Amino acid sequence: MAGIGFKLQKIARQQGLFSGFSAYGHAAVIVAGPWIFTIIAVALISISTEKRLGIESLANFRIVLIYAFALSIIATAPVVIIATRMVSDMFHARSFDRVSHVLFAALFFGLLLTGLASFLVLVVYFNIDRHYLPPAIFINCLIALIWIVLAFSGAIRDYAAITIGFAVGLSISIMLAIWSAGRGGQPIDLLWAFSVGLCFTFFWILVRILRTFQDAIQAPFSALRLMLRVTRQHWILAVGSLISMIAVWADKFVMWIAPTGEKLAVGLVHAPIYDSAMFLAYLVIIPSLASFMIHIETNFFLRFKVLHKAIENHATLKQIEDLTRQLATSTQKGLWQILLVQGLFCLLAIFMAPLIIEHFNFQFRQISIFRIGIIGALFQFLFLASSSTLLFLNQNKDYLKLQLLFLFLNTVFTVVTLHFESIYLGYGYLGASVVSGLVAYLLLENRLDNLQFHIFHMAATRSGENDWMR
Amino acid sequence: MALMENKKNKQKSVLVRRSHQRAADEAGDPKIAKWHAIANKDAKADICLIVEGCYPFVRGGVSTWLDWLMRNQPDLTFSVFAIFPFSDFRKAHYEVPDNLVSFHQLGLQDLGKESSFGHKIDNKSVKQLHEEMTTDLLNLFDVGGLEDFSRLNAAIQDPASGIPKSGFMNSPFAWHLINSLYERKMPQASFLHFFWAARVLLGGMFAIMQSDIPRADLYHTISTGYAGLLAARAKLEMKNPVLISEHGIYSNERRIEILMADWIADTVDTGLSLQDKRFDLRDLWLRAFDSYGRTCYQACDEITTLFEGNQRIQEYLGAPTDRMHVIANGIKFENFSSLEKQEGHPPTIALVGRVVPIKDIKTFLRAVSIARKSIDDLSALIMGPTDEDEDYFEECRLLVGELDLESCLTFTGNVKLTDYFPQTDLIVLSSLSEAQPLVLLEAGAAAIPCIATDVGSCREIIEGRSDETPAIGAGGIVTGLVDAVSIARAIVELLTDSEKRIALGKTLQTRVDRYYRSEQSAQNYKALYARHGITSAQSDPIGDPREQDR
Repeated sequence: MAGIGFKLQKIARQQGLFSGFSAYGHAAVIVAGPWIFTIIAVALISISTEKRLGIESLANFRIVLIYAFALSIIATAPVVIIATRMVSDMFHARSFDRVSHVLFAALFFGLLLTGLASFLVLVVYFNIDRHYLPPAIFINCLIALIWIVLAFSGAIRDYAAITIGFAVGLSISIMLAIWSAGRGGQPIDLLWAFSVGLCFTFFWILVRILRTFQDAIQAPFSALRLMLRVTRQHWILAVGSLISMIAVWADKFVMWIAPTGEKLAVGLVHAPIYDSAMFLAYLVIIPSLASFMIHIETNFFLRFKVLHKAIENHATLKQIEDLTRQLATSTQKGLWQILLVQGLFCLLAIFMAPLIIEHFNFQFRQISIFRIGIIGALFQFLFLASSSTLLFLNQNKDYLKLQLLFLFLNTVFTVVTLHFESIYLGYGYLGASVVSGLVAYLLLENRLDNLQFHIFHMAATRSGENDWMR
Repeated sequence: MALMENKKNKQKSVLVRRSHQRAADEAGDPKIAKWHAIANKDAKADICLIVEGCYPFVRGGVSTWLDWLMRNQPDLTFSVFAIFPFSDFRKAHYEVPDNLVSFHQLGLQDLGKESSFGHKIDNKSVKQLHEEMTTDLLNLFDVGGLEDFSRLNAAIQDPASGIPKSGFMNSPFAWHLINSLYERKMPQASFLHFFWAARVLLGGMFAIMQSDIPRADLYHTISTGYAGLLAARAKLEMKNPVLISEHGIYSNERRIEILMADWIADTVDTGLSLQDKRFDLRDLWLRAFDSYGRTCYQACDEITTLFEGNQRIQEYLGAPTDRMHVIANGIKFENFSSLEKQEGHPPTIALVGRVVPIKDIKTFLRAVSIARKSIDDLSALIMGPTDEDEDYFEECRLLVGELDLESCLTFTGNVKLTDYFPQTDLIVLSSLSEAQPLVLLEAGAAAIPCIATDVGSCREIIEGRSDETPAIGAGGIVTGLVDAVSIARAIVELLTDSEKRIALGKTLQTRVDRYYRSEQSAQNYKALYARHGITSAQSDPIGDPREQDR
């Protein structure tokens, strides 16, 4: 135009509709999944070494491991989610040359945060037996590194690496632990033995990732700066993830600190009656998490792609509405189907509770906690699945709010149960899971009902989210 | 595609960042500091100038004219309301005139953050507002104007409606609004494209409706479009007179831009059927800007433009004829009338203009080639920058070779006209499009007759306006477009008949002297303001609107 006006094209720019919807639905599950590994590892070690070491001594070994898993998963949660987001954005943009940079930065920050958290908790707060300190810190950091490589492995869907890494690694751990116990090893020796297996897991997964992304890291400091920048941009995501991990452990923390907690020789507290029953209850929802992951991979994600393609190829509003409705329905249906099967499975577990409890050599009064834990876990699965799906839909704020809700309820309700008889142990967690699970599901349903709005709305308001990649 | 768009955005944000960087670098510049000093100042002015996409950040004819206008009404105070796609403060190309008291900037696409307004669309009052606004918007885009705009504006301004001051376009309400418009207007089109188009069109309009109008006694817009909408709001809310002075016709230029835009998808396959009356995205864009234009014209107390030809387009676009006037731009007459003609040079013709397709340099070259058959020692000059469209310049050079014109034709590049006019016998303009070409006035002031195509105000300048009394007569010859033969015939006629040539030159000089002096133009604007109650003691018009641009 001759001197006036600006080019219309300048304002009529269209933004990438799905830039924020990168495929990290499965990654959300990977992020949610690790606590399952926590339980498997602890359970396996407990079962295999209990007889040789004696309950007292083994408890010290086990508590250090539990703390290591809990501390590292909480400390690395923000790093893992940010790294996952960056990697999935990179994949979306088909730009792979800086994946190794992100990995490096994530390992660095993960180590830093875990080191700091370990120091604060183990040294400053509990001031644990100084003989335990070296293996404890070492295992904390090692597990932190594993959480991070796990996220990368999940992002490239190298589930084989994860499976082999853990199967072989944990086998080594268990075998060395048993061997060490058999030769009169103390809990500290067991910890070192255990960490050898974890080293294998870490390096196995790391090598698999580095073989996929071989770019050398030329500028380590700029890689760190980049990660800090993305964290600033996605702080809601980072905080949400951190809260989610604290929330999962909140009821345990309360039980440990409260009079129900017992101090062990190593200097750490635990609540054995509560902990073991709850850990066992969690195991019951493993099948659901697995089928949910499959649902995300095969159904949800594919339907999302179809919707994406249709919109880009000039679909009318009616066509878009039809596709989003299908997506919403299939998501809801998928979730309910999994819940139904899981419900039956839980019912079975509840009936068989006395048997299971007896098999694991637990106390009789743990039957009730175990049963309550199973129902709670069922709803926690609903919470996890719903909030992960919201994360997939890039509803980060919803995700954060839900995690805050669960953290709050899980803490407060558990504190409240402390004032009642011990028969009510676990009801706090149950109440928190039920309320949070239903709220998360209703929120998800609402978001799915208005999915078209959210897709376009987000494209319009949050287009700059991937700017860091430039 | 999403990816591609993403890349574009990234490039954009790089540019924005760079411009911020530049702004920071220049923060110490006193010229910039002056702009910052008057930015968003709440000072009442006599006149608020509403400008879109030009002054003071973009150089060009209109920007320079605005600078001239303010400097030539020194007894009046002005404020400037500048509309841009985004409101980043860039480097101003003009110095702050002494009588410019405040500067306001609006970014049309700064749509704010998020808002949950209309979250419950089934709420009775929200639903009613939604239905009313949908109807008003449909009416506005159909054949509506000020009345529909007024209703929409009232809803936006009404505190009871609950519409948020920021983030309205990002609210569920706006989403439902876009959906309803889509369903009612073009349910067969690509929703993706409709969504972005509607966001831009409505977003811009609502941004205008939600901005604060600077205080002034009179509002003067230089175009329709978004600037025109703000003028309409000023009329409705401030109850003060509103004027429009168009150089180019905004709606018309938008029309060309939209019809040629390859980024607007044609989603209705009309095939070979000319009867297909289905509404498509292009229609949406066109209708929107047409309706913005009608709204503005209906709101304006007086509508001026540079020449009569534009008035016919304004009328077609809905401007009431009884409010229309022509105010031409002027030049500094003495700068050219005082030039002494030099003798002893070969017969010389010149085309003054940039070497670009719209000036149709190739037709000029062909005309030169034909004319040279009659005039052996003909010398032809093309005076103007050649670097704007280098491919076209190269094509022209090849044509010069083909026509064997090397010996008689010179591309002078950008030169000072006063150095060349004394040896020039004739000015030729072969343009395909012009508004009011100042070179004809400058040539006229120097008593050089002109041959020009019948575009813009060329005929008015050469033959006189229809209401010219007494009629002065022709100051040159008007030819058809892309008509090398006619142009050549006119060149030969005037170069071989020196008596006629001199007479035409004198006539043109008389006309320019009488109607196209810069002082006269400034006086006309002064009178225009006075007609609407804005007067000053004594103004001292100075300068040529193009002077500062040289």
